[in-house]
Amino acid sequence: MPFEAFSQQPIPPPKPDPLSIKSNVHVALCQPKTRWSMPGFYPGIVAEVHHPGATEGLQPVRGAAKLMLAAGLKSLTGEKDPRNAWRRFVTPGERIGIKFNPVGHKVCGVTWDVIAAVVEGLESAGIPRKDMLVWHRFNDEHAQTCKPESVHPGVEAYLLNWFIVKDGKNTPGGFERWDENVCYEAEVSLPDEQNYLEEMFHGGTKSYFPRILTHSGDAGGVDKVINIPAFKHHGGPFITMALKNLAFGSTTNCPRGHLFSERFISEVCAFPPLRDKVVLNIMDALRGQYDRGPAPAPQFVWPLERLYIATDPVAMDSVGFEVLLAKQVEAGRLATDKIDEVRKKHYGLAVAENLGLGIHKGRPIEKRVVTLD
Amino acid sequence: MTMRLIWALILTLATSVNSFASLMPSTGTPPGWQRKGQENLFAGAELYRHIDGGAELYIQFGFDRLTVQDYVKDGHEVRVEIYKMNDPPGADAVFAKITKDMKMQSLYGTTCVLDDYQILFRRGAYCVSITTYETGTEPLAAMAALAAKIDESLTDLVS
Repeated sequence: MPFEAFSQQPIPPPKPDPLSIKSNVHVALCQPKTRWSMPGFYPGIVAEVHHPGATEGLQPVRGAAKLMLAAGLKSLTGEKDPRNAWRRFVTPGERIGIKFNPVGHKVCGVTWDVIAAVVEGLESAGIPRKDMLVWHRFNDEHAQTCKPESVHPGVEAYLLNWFIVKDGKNTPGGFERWDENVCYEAEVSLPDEQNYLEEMFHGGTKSYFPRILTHSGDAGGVDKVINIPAFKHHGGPFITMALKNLAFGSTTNCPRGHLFSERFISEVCAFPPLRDKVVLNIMDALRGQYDRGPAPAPQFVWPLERLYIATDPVAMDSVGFEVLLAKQVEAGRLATDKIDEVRKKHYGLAVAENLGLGIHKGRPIEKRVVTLD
Repeated sequence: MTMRLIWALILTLATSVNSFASLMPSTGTPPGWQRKGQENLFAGAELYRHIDGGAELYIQFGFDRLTVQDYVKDGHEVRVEIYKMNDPPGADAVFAKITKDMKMQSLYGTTCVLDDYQILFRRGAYCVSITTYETGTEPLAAMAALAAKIDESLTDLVS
């Protein structure tokens, strides 16, 4: 029977106009920047490392990610030794947080190989594993991606929230891990029935940051963050790369952010816990998903066999956006006369640039391409 | 009278939950394939824990619940996800979104999409997704068998 649409499909609730929403982003903008603040040491520069043969059957070939990361760091920093490149971003004695995108791990999420390459790189720069921490928002994500502590022994796996079944009820935990003194506020909230979970932390218009980001390493938090996004399409903001991995992976009450993602993602990243601590972005593009994300859809995954490395998350996302757009056109998922429409619709990167988080269109982005044999 | 109504409601809910759980084929369907781990159930807003960043699509069209089960054989793996929406129009709306611009067929459900990695089909208020992470005849055959079995159960359930 041919597909026929029902005539009475429900109509989703209207989305607010992102540009008319009031938020407290001015609070973030008033905070003085540090030398580490986004866009970091190399604004507008993105190292792209291409290693043909880095994957086999969409899975990484052993050792490839480590070579690619070393080459990319050298290209970005100009250092000859990757250890010295790492030392530009981290210093022994600091506690380092690692945020990777776990969604779609087997198909399109961040691979263990890239995380391992980062852990080894940090170690080479004098950061012992006991001073590294990988964080997840939920224990489900954690379970789905196996356990980082078993893949990288000695690296702490830290959950921001978890669920346990207690007396037959789902019982959330981890409330004390959020800092109620630091929040992003915007006048958008989900209706109660859509307020996802108790662990989303009382819904409403506020999104809190975790204590590990609002506190320094010697006070139980982290001093620096290495961001490891995946190269992936998203049905909402079109891409889920560097900025989105940070914003949605580091705040409570974030599902509402999909209603105004053009602002939510950038404005959350403008707050000091992220803006001043994320010193390096390493995008795992060993494979890319060009449509129907963020849920894994293997038919839209292709072996991109690249890593993108930048201190500037906006420049990195801008490069990724265009690569994904081109792939959609090539695969026949997007007509060429619709390209500009997509660019106009997804203006979140322009918002990020206006907030001073990096380079989007203000000047040409310098892409340093390295090809490995 | 009130007590009767309450009991009727409880029985209806219990039947509904049980029939939903029994949609997932048991170990041995297809032959040689085994269930891996527990069947995971996500009700209402809990969907966010399964598809972080993608749950909104389902919730906005009236999501009821989802059950997820992995099946394995000799290193091959297939994941089955059965989404139940509140009503058929909700399932139709979600299905139309996730299969946009894809070629519709009629092998399973009232409409379906097939390719080397996935079988997606809809029947009544249900959307079914069966996914493999590799290409190969064995996972493809398993996916087809699982789809046929689930569709058969759904046909009984919604008719």
